[in-house]
Amino acid sequence: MSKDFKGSIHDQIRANRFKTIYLFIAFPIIIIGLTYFGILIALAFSDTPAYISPTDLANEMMKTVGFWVLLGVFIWSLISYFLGSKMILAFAGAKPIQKKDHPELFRSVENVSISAGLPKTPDIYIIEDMSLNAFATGNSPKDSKVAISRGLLEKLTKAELEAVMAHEVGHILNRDIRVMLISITLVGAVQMLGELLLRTGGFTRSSDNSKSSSALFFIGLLFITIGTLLATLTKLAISREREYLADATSATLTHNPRALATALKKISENARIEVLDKKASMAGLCIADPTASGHKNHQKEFTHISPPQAHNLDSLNSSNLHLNKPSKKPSLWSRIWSTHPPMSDRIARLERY
Amino acid sequence: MDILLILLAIIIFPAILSVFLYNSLIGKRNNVKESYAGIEVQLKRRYDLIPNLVNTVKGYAKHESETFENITKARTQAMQSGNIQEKAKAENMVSDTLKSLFAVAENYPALKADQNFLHLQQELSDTEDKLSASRRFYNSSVKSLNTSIESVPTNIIANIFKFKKAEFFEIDSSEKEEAKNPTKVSF
Repeated sequence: MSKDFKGSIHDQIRANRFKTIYLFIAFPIIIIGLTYFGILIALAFSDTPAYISPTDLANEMMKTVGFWVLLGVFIWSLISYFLGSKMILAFAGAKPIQKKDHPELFRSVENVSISAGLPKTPDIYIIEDMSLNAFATGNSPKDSKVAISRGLLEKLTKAELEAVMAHEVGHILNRDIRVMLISITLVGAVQMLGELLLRTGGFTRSSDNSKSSSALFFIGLLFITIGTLLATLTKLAISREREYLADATSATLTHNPRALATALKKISENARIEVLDKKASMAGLCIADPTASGHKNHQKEFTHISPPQAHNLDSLNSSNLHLNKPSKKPSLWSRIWSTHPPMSDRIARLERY
Repeated sequence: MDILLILLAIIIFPAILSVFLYNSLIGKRNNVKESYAGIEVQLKRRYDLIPNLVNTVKGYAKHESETFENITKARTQAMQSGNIQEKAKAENMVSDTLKSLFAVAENYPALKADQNFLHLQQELSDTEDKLSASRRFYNSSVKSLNTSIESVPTNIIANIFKFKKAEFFEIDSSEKEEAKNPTKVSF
């Protein structure tokens, strides 16, 4: 297994580098295109004399506006590259902790990063939320962060905690973190702009210059539509295989695939983080889908899971792992649109090691 | 002209290829060195902790001089050992003597309640964990280097530039057995 596994890590690193470059190139092109259509819409709503062709006017305007737009895109790309991980952590409400706050968590992160050969132990953050989830972010193995929810921290045994952290270290090792970071911040910016325009458009609609505000409204709508489309496309392009690969990394780092399997089972009980409900683009980051729809899928998969059982200290003995077999797989439709592979499938693969 | 081109291709292509192969070998060899340094960091930490631990235990259990001697001897031996195989063996000895020291401590309730002792015990078990983690990373980079040295076409380059296979940092067989069947702790 180990040779194929190493090979797939290198493939993943290469693919991720390609995707990062692709995102950085595609983003300005998309923004410029959107601006152009936005100007066309604005012109359609304004009273330009009929003898001036709107496309000519738009081309003329793009010469001046385009420069500023490109500059803005460039600055935003820099911001998202250097501060993106901070933004993501802030969105999730994650707070950094010191070693003395939770020595056990620190030790397990230190240990897995040593056995993975990371140049530096990731910074550790805690999400003050009783639901069960975790994610990793950052630019490179040298600058990486892991975050874990309070609920998960309290629920997992030491071995399971180490396995979950090893999964996150796997994402760091495979450079998934950078692609996710860039796609979240860049695609998020399009959606955010759209929302902003929509709001200002809707807000000033009652006032007298209703034409320009309804133009704003339509431009906003355009941004949101394209943004959502982009978010979905990138979500799907960033392959779901990465989760299997990170699971496999965890298994090789800890030599304990069982621990991750039991941890995943616990996580699927309540992976939902309410603050991330609207941030679908961030869902791909987490160890399990934190949104409401993801939560529904998990529940469908494990309908007869009994919570007291998962509290058992000896859940590592795995006897209870076989008791509650997944009842049914999520439908094909929900699998196509989901950011994560089905939990039952991930657990089954881990048990096969 | 054509012959010149063909000759050029015959020479240049292998030349470029061998540069890549050589660089990859160098990278892997440096990885091995770096990961060995990782092991040494943990070993150093363990060497530093042991005298403290021995002194703390001595305060409570004066009559266990044999255990103390053993552990000090094992530590000195480990610090002096040269090559990797010797070192791995000596380190296993240190681990064993440490285990017997903690077993001794079980007989002294006052010692078990000592804050300093508890702290040292925790630090040492953490160091053991980190040691095995860094050993795992070291062994995986050794495996990667050795595989390239043995396999075609890197073996040609490795032969020319005299790359040597690195040694694994092995744990002894009894410990391996133990790792496969971890002792169950029941409450």
